[in-house]
This record gives sequence, structure tokens and C-alpha cells, in this order.
Amino acid sequence: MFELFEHSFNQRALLAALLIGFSNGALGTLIVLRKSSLAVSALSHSLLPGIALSIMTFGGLTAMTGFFGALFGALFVGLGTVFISRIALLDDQTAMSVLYTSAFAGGLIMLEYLPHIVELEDWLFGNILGMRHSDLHISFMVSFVILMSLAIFRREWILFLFEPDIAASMGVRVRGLNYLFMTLMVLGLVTSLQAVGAVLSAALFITPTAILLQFMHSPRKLIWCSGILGALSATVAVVLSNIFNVRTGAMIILLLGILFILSLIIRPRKVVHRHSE
Amino acid sequence: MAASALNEDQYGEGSHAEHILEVKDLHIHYGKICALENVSFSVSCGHCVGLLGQNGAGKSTMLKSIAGLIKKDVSGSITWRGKPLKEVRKEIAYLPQSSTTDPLFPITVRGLVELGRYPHVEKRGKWKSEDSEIVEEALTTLKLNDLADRRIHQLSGGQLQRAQIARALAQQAHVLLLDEPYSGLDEPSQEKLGKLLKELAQSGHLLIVCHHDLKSVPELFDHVLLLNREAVAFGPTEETFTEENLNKSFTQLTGAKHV
Repeated sequence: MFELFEHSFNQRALLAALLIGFSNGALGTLIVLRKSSLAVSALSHSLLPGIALSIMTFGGLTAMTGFFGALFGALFVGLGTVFISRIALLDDQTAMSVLYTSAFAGGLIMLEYLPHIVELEDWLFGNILGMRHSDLHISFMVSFVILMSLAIFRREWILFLFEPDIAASMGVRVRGLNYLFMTLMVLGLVTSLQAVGAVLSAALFITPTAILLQFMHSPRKLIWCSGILGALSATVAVVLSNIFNVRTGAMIILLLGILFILSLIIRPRKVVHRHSE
Repeated sequence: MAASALNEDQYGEGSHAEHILEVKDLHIHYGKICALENVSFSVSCGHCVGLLGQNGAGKSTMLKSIAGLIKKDVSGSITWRGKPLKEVRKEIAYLPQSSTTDPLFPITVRGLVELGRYPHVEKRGKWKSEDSEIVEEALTTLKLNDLADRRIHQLSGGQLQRAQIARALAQQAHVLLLDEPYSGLDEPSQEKLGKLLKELAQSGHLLIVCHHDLKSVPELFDHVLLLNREAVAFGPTEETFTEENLNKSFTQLTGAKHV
């Protein structure tokens, strides 16, 4: 088993799993508490048209073109949603549903005109073992931005998540945080592409927090513990996928899914009464 | 000490007059629709003011504008102690309707009360033991010590209201803006909350409360502001809460008024 750590691509995969698992797990708490779990799933669909557009524009798929294509697709849908819901009297979910389905449809049509590209499958289903140094640098930078944003605005995030009006009345710049939240979500999604792929990326955000919500009731602790759980699950899954020779992305998400079911079984089951005055 | 805090005048005798909330010529419109027009009033600390009017009369808009939540399409001025809202934000606490609070949010009563310290902690960047003391004092004042470690989904409506008020006390706010705090509460809880708000006013806070149940008005508020997109009447309850003013205030709003 220790041979696993001798290959540089395996070391890179483990480091990437640690970085992406931690930053996306931590960011996931914001997504779950903002009730944006479905939004992140929707947003992950917008990565495909972005990548397809990038292939059409640059004539091929490399780490850079894939990254910027996915980033463009997700930013288009993510920031477009915030903008449209502000100007068109529509709620976030409606605006996002219209945008991401339209973008996804555009992506499907674009694919018809593209030659079959094997790497596209890696972007859709993840290939953490195929990560190069340049990919790792991108993951490191994005993780750094996400974690710094979580740390610097730690108090603001909690107020923003609990009740935006209370936050605004205390002087928190709610609109700015909303845009930052969307941007971080998009950045996190794009980096998780190579780890777990576009199709499964949402789970890497949501499941660690969903597990810990059974046991914890402090948003601040939830953020960092979700990061630790995300990092641990992702690295363990890299090892397991090597042993069983299966796709790593799927193994990460399956492991988290199993942990979620376990958490439901072992969670403390206090009978909850609403206490009268 | 904390429990008696409500019985003491927090500004000292005779200083209420300096703590005045003044609204002057306030106009608010959402797009082309006028929500509030030409509203002016001023009120000092130590009062419990009921904001009354039918649905769409502008009660919540009035409250949100004092909370500094409405920034676009506003003209006129709102000042507290002669200063614009921006400078006195931490002295004003906004308590939205309890229905807007997500009961599943993973936070305890203590955690919720701690949120009130944000405007104080924000600038210095550090949580100090003094902040914890103020939070404990607010919990004691509102008799929430036994519930401090409970999650908010385990609270009754009245308890959640008290926790939100404790948050405002932890914020050391002088003005409390409450949006329909009595809705959804049973009668005993309403009575308790009414008594608590009166005690807060007596201790020198200014409370502005959106309310829709007219029967309980004389009992709950010493001042009322009757709204019908404009200020119909403002003053002490016994003088202002008259049938004539109520008729003016509760006449049918004739469709959307355009500016």
C-alpha cells in the first residue's frame, strides 16, 4: 500500500484531495446554511457549456482552457443569477434555473460540433490522478482565496447566513457578500472538477456539512470541521480508489454518502419538544 | 445586578430628551409606487410606540427605513441623537418577524445573543471577556440562562422573541425596532412580552413596534403612529388612538399610488 505514495502523481492526487476537500468542505457549510444546495448542483451543470465553448474557441482542451471555460460558464450563470433576480423581480432559484438550463442546452448543441475528446470525460467525471503541477497550483490558489475569505469575514458570514436583514441593519455589506459567496462557489466548483468531475462536484460541498449538522450547532465550528471532514474523506478515498482500482471522484462521493448514512444512524436522538413559556 | 438593569434609567434622569429619533419629510417609493409619503415625527427614549395601519400602509417599510435597510428611492432624513443612521447603527437593533428566522439554523440561544456583539467586535476585531459578560447579562435579564445552550428550534415563539430581544440588549442598542412581535403568540406569552417591552421602555429604551391587533393597543403602547402611506396621526395613545384617526387610517387604500 505504501507504494501508493511513491509515485509523484499519487502524491499530487493526495495533496489535491486534501486541499480541495478542505476548502470545498468548509465552503459547503455556507452553501448548506444559505439553502443553496440545489443551486450548486444547478451551477455544476453550467460548467459543461463553459468547457465546450472553450474547446470551440481554443481548438483543444488543456488544464488552462478547461479551467477558464468552466469558470466562464459558472460565472455566467452564477453572477447572471444575482443580477437577473435583482432587476427582474424573480427569486434566485427561478433565475438560475432559466439560465443554467439554457446554458446547458447551448453546451449540448456545441458538443454536436466538437470531435470526441477523451479529456472531456475527465472533466465530467473527474480524474484526480491525472492532475499536473499546474493543476495543483490552480487548486492551491483557489483554496487559499476561499479559506482567506471564510476567515476574514467569519463574523459577517454567520450574520449573513442567519438573517440578511439583521446583518444589513448592523452594517454588514450584504450585497457584496452575496456576490462574494457566488464567486467562491463558482471557484470551488471549478477546482473540484478534476477531483470529482462536474456531475458529482456538488456533493463534495454539501455532504460533509450535512453529516456534521447531525452533531453540531455552532456555524463557526461547522465551517472548519466540514473542511476537515472533506479533506479526510477525499484523501482516504484516493487511497481506497487505488486499492480497488476504481474512479477516485466516484469513490470520494460514495465514501461521503456512506458516512452520511452512518451519521443518520448514530446521531443523538433527543426527543425535541418545543418548550412552552 | 443584570436583572435589575431594566428598572434603572440607563441614561440618567432627564436625559431622555437628548435621545430623540427624528424622522423628517420621509418619502419612500418602490419604483413608481409610493410606499410612504411625507412622514415626519419625533420621539424620545423611554417610550413604546405602536406603528399601526392596514396592510400596505407602510408599517414595515417605516421600520426597515429606520433600521437602515432601505437605501434606494428614499428622500427626507432619519436621525438619532441628531446623527444620521450610518453613524449610530449599533445603537439601533432590528428584530424581524419571527417567521423569517430559519428554525433549523444551527445556533444556540447563546450563539444568537452573541451575534448582537458584532458591531462592537467588528472594529477591534477581537472577542473580549467583556463581550461574554455582556452576553451573559443579556441572557440573565431576559431569564434565558436555562435555555442558553438550547438550539433555537427547541424554543417556543415567545422564547425566540426573548432571545432576539436579548440579542438587541447584547448589542447595547437604545432603539429596538420590532416587526409584529406578538403575531403567533398565545395570550399568556403576549402578556409577558407586553410587560417586558414596557419594562424596557421604562429603563430608557425606545421601542418601535409594528402591530395589527387594535384591541390591545391602549394596553401595549404609550404612543402610536397611525399610517396610511402617510402619517395620519402621531402622539400619546390616549389622545391619538381615536375613532376619527382610526377611520382616516383604515380607509381603503385606493390602489397603488404613483409618484
